[in-house]
Amino acid sequence: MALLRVLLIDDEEELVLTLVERLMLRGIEVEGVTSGADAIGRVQEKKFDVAVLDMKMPGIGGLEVMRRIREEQPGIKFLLMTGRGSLEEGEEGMQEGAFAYLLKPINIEDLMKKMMEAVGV
Amino acid sequence: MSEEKRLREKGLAFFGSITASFSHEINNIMAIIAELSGLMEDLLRVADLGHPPQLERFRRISERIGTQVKRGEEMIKRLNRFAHTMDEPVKTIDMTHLLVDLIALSERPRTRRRARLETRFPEETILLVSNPFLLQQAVFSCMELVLDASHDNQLLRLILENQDGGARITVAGEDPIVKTDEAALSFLPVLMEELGGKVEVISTDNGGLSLVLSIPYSLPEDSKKPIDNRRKPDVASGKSTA
Repeated sequence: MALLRVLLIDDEEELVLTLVERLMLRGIEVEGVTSGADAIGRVQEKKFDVAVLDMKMPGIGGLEVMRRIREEQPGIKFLLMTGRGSLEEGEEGMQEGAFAYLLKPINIEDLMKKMMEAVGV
Repeated sequence: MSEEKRLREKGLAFFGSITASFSHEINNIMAIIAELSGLMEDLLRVADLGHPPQLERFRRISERIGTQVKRGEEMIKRLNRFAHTMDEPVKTIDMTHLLVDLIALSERPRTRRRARLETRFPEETILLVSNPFLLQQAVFSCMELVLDASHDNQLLRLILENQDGGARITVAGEDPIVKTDEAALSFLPVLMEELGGKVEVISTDNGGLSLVLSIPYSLPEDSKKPIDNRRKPDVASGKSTA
């Protein structure tokens, strides 16, 4: 049984692929998608414990994606990824109930730690 | 606000918008490279535990890093060319090259609105003796105006044509206009006057917004001087004095 079920959402496909590989090596059950719309579709089909979400994506904005995922899965925890120039988006996400936000480039061990804390492991 | 001050402020805002968007892209590339190098370290740790190293996987990761490095180099070259458009107020410009660079520079604002871009450039080279920074600012402003005028996901058309030895650039949206940014629209003629050209606002067959820029082969004489940032504002008259 996997430690955690994680949905990773970022419009940079290469970043998603690499983070998925790294999290899988750490025993995490993880799926990656490259748009908010795909993420909303995915949570309608499968339960996740944590959503790791890039706040700045084309199309549906990060905050809106958070709200719509939460409508489908109220218990899901959010970890947000943001650039240094977009700290206010991370803060807004925190006000919307995100567990934490991380600055890109993220440190994988910080991400692991925050995910575990978010679900109380 | 004087027109010169407005030009300066809008120019700085344009420069800021492009560099902010590019620094975001470069940060993304750095994040990807950091993750790929982290993945290599992860695999080395697995190998240290006694599993045979997966050389083919390492080779593929190395290629993926190379791809990102090339992507970053290309972006930095474009950003550098963009920064240098401010060096000279007048130079000979290949309009196709200028627009290709601008398309790359404005990719993020476009993809944020999920816009699709269709371009049509002439086979012959159109050379203008003009101000490259103001030209890019004018076309970028048109793109922003058209994108903001309608819903996301629309088709944006960018057409370059030869016109009486100068250039005609059409930026058109397919979807009907929902709203127009009147302040931004009113600034375009100011910008075009600096370039010795004009702008026409036309409605497309579908009710979309179409902006047509007519740019002469060369700048009017009084526009060839750089904007002097050292001028002191004359508070009483609202004008600038040297």
